[in-house]
Amino acid sequence: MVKPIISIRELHKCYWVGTMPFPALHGINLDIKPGEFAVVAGRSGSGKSTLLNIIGALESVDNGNVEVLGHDILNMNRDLRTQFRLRNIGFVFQAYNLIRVFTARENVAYVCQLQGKSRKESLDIANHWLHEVEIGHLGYRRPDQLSGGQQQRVAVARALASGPKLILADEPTANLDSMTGRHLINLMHELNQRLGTTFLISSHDPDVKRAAGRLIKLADGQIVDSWDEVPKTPQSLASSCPTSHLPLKERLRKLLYQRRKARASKGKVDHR
Amino acid sequence: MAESYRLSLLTYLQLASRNLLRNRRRTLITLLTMSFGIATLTLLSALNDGWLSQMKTNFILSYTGHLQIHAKGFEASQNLNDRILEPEEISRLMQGYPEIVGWTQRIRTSGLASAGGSSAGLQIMATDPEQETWVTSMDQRVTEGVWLRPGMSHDLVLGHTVAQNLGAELGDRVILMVQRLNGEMTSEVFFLRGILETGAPQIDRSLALITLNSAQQWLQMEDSVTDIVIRADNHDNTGTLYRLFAQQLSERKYEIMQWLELDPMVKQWLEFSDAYGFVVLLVVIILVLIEILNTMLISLHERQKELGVIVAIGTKRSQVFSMLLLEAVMLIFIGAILGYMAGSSIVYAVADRGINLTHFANAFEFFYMDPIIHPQLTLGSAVKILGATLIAALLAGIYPAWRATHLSLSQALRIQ
Repeated sequence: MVKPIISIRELHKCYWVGTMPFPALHGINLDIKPGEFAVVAGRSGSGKSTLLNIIGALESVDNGNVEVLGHDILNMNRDLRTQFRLRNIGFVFQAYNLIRVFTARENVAYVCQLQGKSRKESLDIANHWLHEVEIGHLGYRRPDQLSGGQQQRVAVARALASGPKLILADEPTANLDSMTGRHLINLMHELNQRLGTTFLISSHDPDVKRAAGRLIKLADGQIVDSWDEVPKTPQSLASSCPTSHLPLKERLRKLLYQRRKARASKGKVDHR
Repeated sequence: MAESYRLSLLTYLQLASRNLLRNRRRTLITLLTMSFGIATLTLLSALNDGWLSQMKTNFILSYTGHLQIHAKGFEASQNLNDRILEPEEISRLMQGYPEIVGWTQRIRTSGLASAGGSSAGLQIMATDPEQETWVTSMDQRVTEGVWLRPGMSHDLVLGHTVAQNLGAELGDRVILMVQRLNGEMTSEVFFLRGILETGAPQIDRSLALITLNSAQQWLQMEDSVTDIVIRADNHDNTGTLYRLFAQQLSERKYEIMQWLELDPMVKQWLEFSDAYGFVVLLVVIILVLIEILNTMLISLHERQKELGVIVAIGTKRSQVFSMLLLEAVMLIFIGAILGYMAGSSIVYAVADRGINLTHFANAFEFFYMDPIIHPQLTLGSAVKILGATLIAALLAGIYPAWRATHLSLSQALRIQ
């Protein structure tokens, strides 16, 4: 049996805004096999980006286990996570997020330089990947001299240049017109087929979903087969956010919230 | 897994310079403000160094020389019994040192002068008139009459305030009265041949100059003297000569004093000037620091997302720290160089002509200063200004750089 490249068990993640809890992920269990072209689909706020950020070692969790490439990324310190991302994960963001002051090829070469390669070697690698994503002729342009689609191709080239085993793409087509988006997804799919690199893409774009080798649907922080939106009360939201794993500050904040709620409801009873 | 890779310096410099050019107007305004501060600081330092140098030169050349050798205890007692018995032996030591421009022997004692119906207490100084011209510029300060010549055994030169107080004019008889070695009082008649203005009021109101030979005979001191005064080729060699004579002359018999020790007020004034310079430096540097800090924090705020991205794709936080710090250092370095160049240009433009402060001439006179100040650039103040700005750059860069390394990645990436 092939060992999964991503293995997630009982993953919980809750955001707090003041004393209000906002559960983002609730009991996620997921395995992604090497070489998959998987798409996480779901509405805005369903937890897609949070899931990808956690897999990308960009965000902490409240509870659960996350193994990426056999490494328990939750138990890594900050520097180890950075090194892990550099060596193993390529990122494609919704808003391209290129370094504004670098040209396209410098943006791509930058990750190679971070890996210790010489400037010349890095630029050679960058030229190669820019050709792979069909914009080799635009290497000397700065991001603001490129269209959205071209910028996103630079971002794909940057993600691939470090030789990662996994590429995480968070809504890569969201800022592109449908034609450009379709081209980009075809390109990513083709690279997945040719290179065998695992792609995990979050999107609610039907074109992306159609291209998916595997479709994972998220709703309200849970993996579902179909949309199942049940409006939740603040109490039920709070109860879905366990506190034992939270830092002391957040535990206190939650305790205060629960106390205030209890006092409010007691007040109501007494009043009656 | 935790391999550590370094980004090349070129990449850091490229990032820092391009980030500075990202908002050209803001960078330009910051640079202009900073350059103005550094230019002002350079000009103030040059003025300070210029007038301090003038003050030292005037002080040394008007009276004291760079070094004085006395018999042990003379400076405190001012007693003729504390005298140098074999001055020629010491004078022989002077030969062969290119750092020594000239030296002279003197007798110094206090006494009384009377002319017409007036009398005044004064400091009588007997010197070799020819040797004295190698050590001080007193001969050039004679405003009326003539400077002393060898063989003028009953002639004297007075400070112009003393002459004024006594009501004495050229050719008048002036009676000097002093105490001899044996303690008895003696008086002698001299003729006023010259009046001098040293530029230092405390000297002009107390000095009476006679020739060394006449004083030695009159006071029955034979060949002995009270001071041997040495002039060095430049102020900086005073210490070298001091050490040289300290090694060669017996500490029990002689005291060797540098010019700074001979007038405590001048010493205090120099120390005050240093303190004043330091305060000005501190104020300007703090202003520069605040300016840079402000620029860097605004820039950091605008680039939170980009910084989040570069950490996300594998940049270590220490590398982010270095990037931001280098940006601040680069900004201050350019500002400091531009400011220093602007300040230096102004200094060069006015150095020869000087800055005329005749309006405050009376106040300056007291401190051996000329009313026209010639600003002077020195290596010391350049090192101080540029060194202090570099420290300011590091201080101004550290906080934003530290803030950058503590950005929440998930929050930074969510910024629209």
